[in-house]
Amino acid sequence: MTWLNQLDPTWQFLLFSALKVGVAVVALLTLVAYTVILERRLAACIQDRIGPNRVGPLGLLQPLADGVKSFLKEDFVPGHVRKIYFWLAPALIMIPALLTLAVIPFGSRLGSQPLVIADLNVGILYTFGIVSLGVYGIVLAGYAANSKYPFLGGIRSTAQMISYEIAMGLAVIPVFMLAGDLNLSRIIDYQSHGLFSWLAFKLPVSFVLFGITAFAETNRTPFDMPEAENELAGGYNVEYGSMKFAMFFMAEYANMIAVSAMIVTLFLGGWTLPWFGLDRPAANLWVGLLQVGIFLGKVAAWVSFMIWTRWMLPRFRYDQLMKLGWERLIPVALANIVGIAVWLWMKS
Amino acid sequence: MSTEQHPYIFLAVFLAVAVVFPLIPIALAWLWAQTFSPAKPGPDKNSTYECGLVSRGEVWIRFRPEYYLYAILFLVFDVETIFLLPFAVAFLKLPVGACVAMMGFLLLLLEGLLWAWQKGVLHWK
Amino acid sequence: MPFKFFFYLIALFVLYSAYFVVTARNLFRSAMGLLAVLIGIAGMYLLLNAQFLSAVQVVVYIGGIVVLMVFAILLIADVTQKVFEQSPRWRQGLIGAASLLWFSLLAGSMLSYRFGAAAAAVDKSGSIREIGRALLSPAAGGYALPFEVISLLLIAALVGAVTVARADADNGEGKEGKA
Repeated sequence: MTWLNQLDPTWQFLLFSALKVGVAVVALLTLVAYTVILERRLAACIQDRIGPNRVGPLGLLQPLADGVKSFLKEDFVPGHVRKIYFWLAPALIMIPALLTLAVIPFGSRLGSQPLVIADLNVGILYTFGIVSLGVYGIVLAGYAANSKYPFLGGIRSTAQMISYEIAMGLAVIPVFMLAGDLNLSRIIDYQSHGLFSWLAFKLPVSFVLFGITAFAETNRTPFDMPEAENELAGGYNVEYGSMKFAMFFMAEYANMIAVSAMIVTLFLGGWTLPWFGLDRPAANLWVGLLQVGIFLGKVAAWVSFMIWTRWMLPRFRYDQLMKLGWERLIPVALANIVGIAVWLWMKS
Repeated sequence: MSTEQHPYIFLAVFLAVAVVFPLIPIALAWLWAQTFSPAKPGPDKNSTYECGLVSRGEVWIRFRPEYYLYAILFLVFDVETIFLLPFAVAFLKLPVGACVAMMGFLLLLLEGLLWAWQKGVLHWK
Repeated sequence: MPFKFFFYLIALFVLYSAYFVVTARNLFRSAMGLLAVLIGIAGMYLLLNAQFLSAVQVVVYIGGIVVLMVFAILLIADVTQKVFEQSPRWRQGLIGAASLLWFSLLAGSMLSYRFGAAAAAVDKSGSIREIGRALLSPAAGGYALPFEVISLLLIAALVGAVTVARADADNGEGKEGKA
């Protein structure tokens, strides 16, 4: 490793940056692939089926087979679509998930390099911006398809996403009142003093609100309005096929992973564990890797929870969804902010 | 280049990667389709998908205007959330007057929400 | 000179997108052009080290206002099918002259203003905590009063917009099918 230390700082920075981008992208793809298989196997368990188990040991190569299949399907563009948007939408829908991961610290450090792609001091505000961009992928897909179902699906899900975006934004405000910083690394530092310094325990209301809105923002059941199969036949991506459909499919899982990573970072202590001194920045390479593993484990746990919910709960009706968002979550979130403010005030 | 700006320069690089990366598989699939499985369009294939039924009428049906009302409400509360952020970050070291000011701000907007609620704007018919 | 390079790159991008917004014949495309303009401006803020402002730009304008516009465009049936006609030459010329006049007025006033006093505030603008403190400080030099006025403004906007939109909604209902 000595040659690394002898390098120019600029080159060192560039090298590690390229490495981090590469690793992040590859890791995200792998995670997406195995989240899909996890979802299928879990669904099978819940419904007393076997699920995909033929491709490779335990069906572990199934994602590869799916990928090849969607690649070889006829790349078909229906006659009535708006071509440019039709091509752009599937790409656009992947971008927010990738960008969200850029600010999330996925470990303490390896050597002297901090394990976060971009350590911004406006951290969470940046993710708010990215989340608000997420709307465009769906709107564009609906508009591009130029067909009734996708169009209705697009409009519906936009209204849903913007409604829950407010509740999500208000839910995390108390986190910053406690931590006093928007930087996500600082927020993890704040949570590294034992299990009960995790914000999930300190701010249970915020945690629950954020958890609920996470489902809504990723369009997962019980909030999967845009693709309500029985009403919209699949929603905004009905007219898509082959690789373009695969992109929508992957984006759903990528978004799930991104939002799980957010929850883990904000409320579940990020890469820390309160035992064996794992809540301090890593002293050597192995502890550093172990902490990355802890982070991934927590993300996997939350992702599994989201999948489990999907197969256990029915879908909301649209009026129930809007009512829950505006008449329940937002007032509760506002009351939560006032409550936490008063509590902090009394304490000091 | 100061170290302060590094994360943002890096973010720009990452943005470029994030834009290019999803386009690669789509472009590859398109290239593959061009050479090995050219599209075979047909009147049924090209028609609008509505579960096998022939599409009737205009695509651009009129939507319920309630969607738009939600969008307006969203904008107001979006701005509010943004104003809450600097308050939240500075909260621990704020004087009493500032907190009272913030509470006034919050209550006024809460009043707006209650007004809309009472008017039935939040209610999906 | 990476700063100057990025500055001109973004400026070019913003100007081209702005040109696209006004010349596009389809409203949806115009909205997408506006999206590009606003993204470019957010990038410009970032370049000028105003990170908070940049993020606010993205959240409020890109995530809020353009979404509202796209909504309006999508909700009004047929509006994107309509191809707008080009204005006659003389009117184009008039608009061009008017914009030139406006631009020169703006440029003149900006160039004649001395920005020296504001320079001290610039380094602080990156720190959100400073913004929060300044925004809420009731003491002299704070912005507590304008801050409260903002909430009144927001409420007025909310009430006004909802009232207008609801009146339209009630008129439109019944005539055409609902979706």
